[in-house]
Amino acid sequence: MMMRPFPLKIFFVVLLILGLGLGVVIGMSQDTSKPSFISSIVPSPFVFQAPTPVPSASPVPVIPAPTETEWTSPNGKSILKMKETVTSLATEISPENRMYSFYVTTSTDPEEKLVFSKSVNAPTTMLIPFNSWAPDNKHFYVQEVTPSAVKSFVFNASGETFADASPFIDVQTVFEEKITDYTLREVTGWAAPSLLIINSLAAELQDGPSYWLDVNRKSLTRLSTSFQ
Amino acid sequence: MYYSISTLVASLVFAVASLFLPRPFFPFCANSVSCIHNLNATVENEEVGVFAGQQVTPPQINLAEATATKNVLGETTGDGEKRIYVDLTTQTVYAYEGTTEIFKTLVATGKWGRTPTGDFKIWVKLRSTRMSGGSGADYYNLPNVPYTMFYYNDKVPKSAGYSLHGAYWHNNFGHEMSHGCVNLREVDAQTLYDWADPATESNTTHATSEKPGTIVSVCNRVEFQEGSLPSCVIEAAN
Repeated sequence: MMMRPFPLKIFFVVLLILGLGLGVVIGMSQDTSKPSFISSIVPSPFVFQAPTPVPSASPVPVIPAPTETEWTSPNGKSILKMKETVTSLATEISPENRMYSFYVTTSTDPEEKLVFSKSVNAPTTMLIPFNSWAPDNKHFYVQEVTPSAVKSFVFNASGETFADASPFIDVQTVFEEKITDYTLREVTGWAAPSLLIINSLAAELQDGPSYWLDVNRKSLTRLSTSFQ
Repeated sequence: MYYSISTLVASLVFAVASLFLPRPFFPFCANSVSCIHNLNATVENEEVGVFAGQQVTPPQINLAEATATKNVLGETTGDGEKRIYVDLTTQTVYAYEGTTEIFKTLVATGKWGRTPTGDFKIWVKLRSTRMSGGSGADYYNLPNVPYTMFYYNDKVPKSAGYSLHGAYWHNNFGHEMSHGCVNLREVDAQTLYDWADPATESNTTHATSEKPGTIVSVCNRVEFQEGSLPSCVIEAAN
């Protein structure tokens, strides 16, 4: 018995069917949980989306912008400017810190001249008092306010140091060095171009005498007139 | 000799008697030496002043500068009668137009001499004048006192010389520091001077019936109510 040769056409047809069948099987076996590229860019209400982010209950701290305070001299020709900058915010382990810088400009020299800078921790602050300027416009004083005291510092408006080369006069320190019977209560202003008025306290918070601090000599004069 | 003794006795009698005079009549002048003897603006740029035993340099004043009315405060306010209130308790001056407060600053009133209370009228404005008075350690002699506005009423005559003016010799505002006048910072005195009536016409400006001076109310306390004029509280002792 002779076998008939297998027709070549049938062989190719079978091969094609097997190839297609294999492709279908492989295609069905792929992970369909991954969205295709196209489905990922087509919005669909049925596609799960993560919730929109909402602000957290504690906002991110923002350092406030620097502030400026200006105070004109009695003759209107000079300006004392205080720039207050928050340098670090309060944390659980440290208080807020601020930098205070004091500048002077004059009508003849409008360029800001830095006279003094100081960094303090809250709640301490610094300020320019109403009577800051000396009557002759050559000195000024600024104040540091702490919970327990108000400290005054006197400067040359020119920015130059005093005769003893110190950049400023710490009124509290000078007073404590020279006066032991009374404590410094307040500095109110200027009695004359170089005389700062100091009121004192006696024991048990009684009014003490008033003094003049001569800022040129760093000397104190006890007054018979009370400026309390 | 007899003349000297009689003068001495008369002085002593006067000094003792003055202690018993009612306070409104003492002192007779805000500035006991200068009082008011020159009703023209005077400038003495070469002079040196004396205050608190210290020499003070007065501001250099040029009377040739323009003195036309500036009315700095009035430009933006407009309506209402101008009035100045001085609060002796808080050492504060207020400028009002109608019921609107348009200016406020600290002043220094009488320490060595009392500042009389009551309602006054500005009668003359001087760009600059000299004031002197006191004695001993309290002596003062101050040329070029800037932006002076003398005021008066029926109890405090013009000759008493009370005024609002700039003070260049001290900077202790908010505290009593004068011999009876109302001291202001020079810049603040200029602001009030330029605003107050009579409108400045020259370095010496007199009020007239046609151009009356602004009323100055000097009060022991000034009390405020929204939308109405402040009330001037004057204590009975005055």
